[in-house]
Amino acid sequence: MPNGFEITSMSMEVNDDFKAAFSDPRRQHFLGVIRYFTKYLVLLVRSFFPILAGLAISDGLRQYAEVIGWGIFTLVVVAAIVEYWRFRFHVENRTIIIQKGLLEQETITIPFDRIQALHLEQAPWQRFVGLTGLKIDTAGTSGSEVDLQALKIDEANVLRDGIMSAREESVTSSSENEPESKLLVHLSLNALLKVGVTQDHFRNGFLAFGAVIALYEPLKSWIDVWLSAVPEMVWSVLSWTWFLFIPLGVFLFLIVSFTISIVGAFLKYFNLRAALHAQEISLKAGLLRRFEYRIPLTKIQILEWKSNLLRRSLHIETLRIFQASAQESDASGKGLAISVPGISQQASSKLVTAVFHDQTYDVKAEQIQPDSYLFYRLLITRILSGSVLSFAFASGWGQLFMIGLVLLWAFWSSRKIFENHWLRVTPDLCQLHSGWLRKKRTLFSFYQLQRVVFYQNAVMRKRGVAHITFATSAGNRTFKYLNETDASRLYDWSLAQIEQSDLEWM
Amino acid sequence: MEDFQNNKLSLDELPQLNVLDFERLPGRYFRLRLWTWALVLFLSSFLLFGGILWANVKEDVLISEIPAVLWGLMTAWYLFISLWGISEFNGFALRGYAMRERDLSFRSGYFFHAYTTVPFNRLQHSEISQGPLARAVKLCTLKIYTAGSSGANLSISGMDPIDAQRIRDYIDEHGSE
Repeated sequence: MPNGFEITSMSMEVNDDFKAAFSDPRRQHFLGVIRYFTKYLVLLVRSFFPILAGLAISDGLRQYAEVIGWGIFTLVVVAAIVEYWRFRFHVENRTIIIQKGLLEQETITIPFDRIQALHLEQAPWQRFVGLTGLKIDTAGTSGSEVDLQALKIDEANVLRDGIMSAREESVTSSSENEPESKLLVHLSLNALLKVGVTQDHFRNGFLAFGAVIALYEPLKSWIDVWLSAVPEMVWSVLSWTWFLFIPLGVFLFLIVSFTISIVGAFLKYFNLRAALHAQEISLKAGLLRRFEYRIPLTKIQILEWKSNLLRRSLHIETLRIFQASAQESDASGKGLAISVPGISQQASSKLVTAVFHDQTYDVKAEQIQPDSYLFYRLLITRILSGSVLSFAFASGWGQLFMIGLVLLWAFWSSRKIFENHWLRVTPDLCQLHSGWLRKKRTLFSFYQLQRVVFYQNAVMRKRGVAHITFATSAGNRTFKYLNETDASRLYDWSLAQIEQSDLEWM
Repeated sequence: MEDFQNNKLSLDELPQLNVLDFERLPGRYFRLRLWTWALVLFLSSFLLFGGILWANVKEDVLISEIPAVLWGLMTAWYLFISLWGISEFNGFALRGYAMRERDLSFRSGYFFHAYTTVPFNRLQHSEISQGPLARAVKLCTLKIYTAGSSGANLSISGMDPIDAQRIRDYIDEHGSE
């Protein structure tokens, strides 16, 4: 089985190889045609779906089936070969130049400094033929994402390492520290099982349920045919025994959710290894589709840990690493992220010192609590939503009991959420904490921020409360219901930090 | 590296945004906004009352026969219009920009007030845009882009084109790239 992804050390010979191998315009491996073939096949089948469906039903059309089929096939083959043939790339003056285009020739030039990260991704077919895809991530307003689909694994490694080391030479004077790497996370089978079991099963279940509903529409005709074959009697029996199936349905839903999330975790995170190197983080995993991500430490904008009750009891968290986002369409403002599941406290703190190395994290920090306005807000919304439940439920003593329960729950949970909502601020770093059962903490450094927003509505202004939004190039994070003076203090502080700093921020 | 507690005390030395004088936008922008508001008020009233009148005269619908839902909707609409009017009237004084040596701030909103600051050393590019209406009244929109999200991150509409150009020139001179 071809197995690439050896982490090659970045040395001079790599650089020479790199220059020699990629200086002339060249094509990808010929098997890249497969990728373009499937791409156009899917495209055509999708756009001609009505005709294809017509073929299956109408006898009149069926006699042309062969002609249409061959027509589509040749079209796809020609398009794939042309696209393959016209796709050429080379490296010149610290810039990667790609010429491509099926009909119109398009030239994309990406300076190395613009590259945010290089990801290797191996789909099953690529693994089978010993190739790999290389994804070039850029950030900023110009230049979009570029995919190389078919490179030999060692070629891809040379290209990737060449670009990375060429870029690092310009950023830092030289990498004087040895590339020693520390393993952050290695998910053994046991650990993988832990991650799988502690997932959010309900969410996965609902996602699957949504997928089933989405599938119903295109498969409607088949399902209707199948349903009409069910004898009438079954329906009449079902019409008064349906409630018997509720527990069964719930049980099935749980089983399916659980299975899906475990299988999903296995497919995605199989043999996951996250390691910390001198300049970057690497992450590789995957059972069928393998991927390897490398993120330069300087490009990391936000670290975000999430955990639920189960995961906390096993002392693991899920870490999301956010880097500057390339997607223009990323309207949610959440940014590009990779997840590292099952990370331990020790590994996390190693990572934090590496990412924010010359900044102070362990110094005396200030804790900022939100205003009590947040607590009352939480309490009131909870009481309101709970009271609906208690009125719908029962009457008399039962109702009184329910009201008591709702009040208790509202008070308790609001208190807990309020207590767990706070900021930890050091001169350089800011960490937002939130969540009670599902905890989240978000860490970023002030100097990497892009802009700051201070928000108040009329009620908040009266109460002297404000939201503050920190915008990084990997998305925005808002801390809500701060005391006004704290908020403007943070606001001024962040700006001063950004404007004083001349460090590389992206 | 000093720690934050010290800085908290010396925070008075830090430039503070909320004591800054914000520059107001030109009065003709205020008038333009008020005219827009008045136009919407006038047009919607014309349609609503005209519609009722038409139903009354042509279709012989009695005023008392008009469903309560419609009255409710109309009340809600006029409530919205009046809130909008209040925020336009009072909000204009709160709308403005402030330029410091190293950053540009913009604030706006009456019921929903926000201020945003973009440091010049995080700036990607800037843009001055002007639609036909804005050109007629000699106003423009200054848009400032930073990395990481789509769209402009700071957009000041209703600026005097000369001021906008001055800010832009300053940014070009003193920006990072």
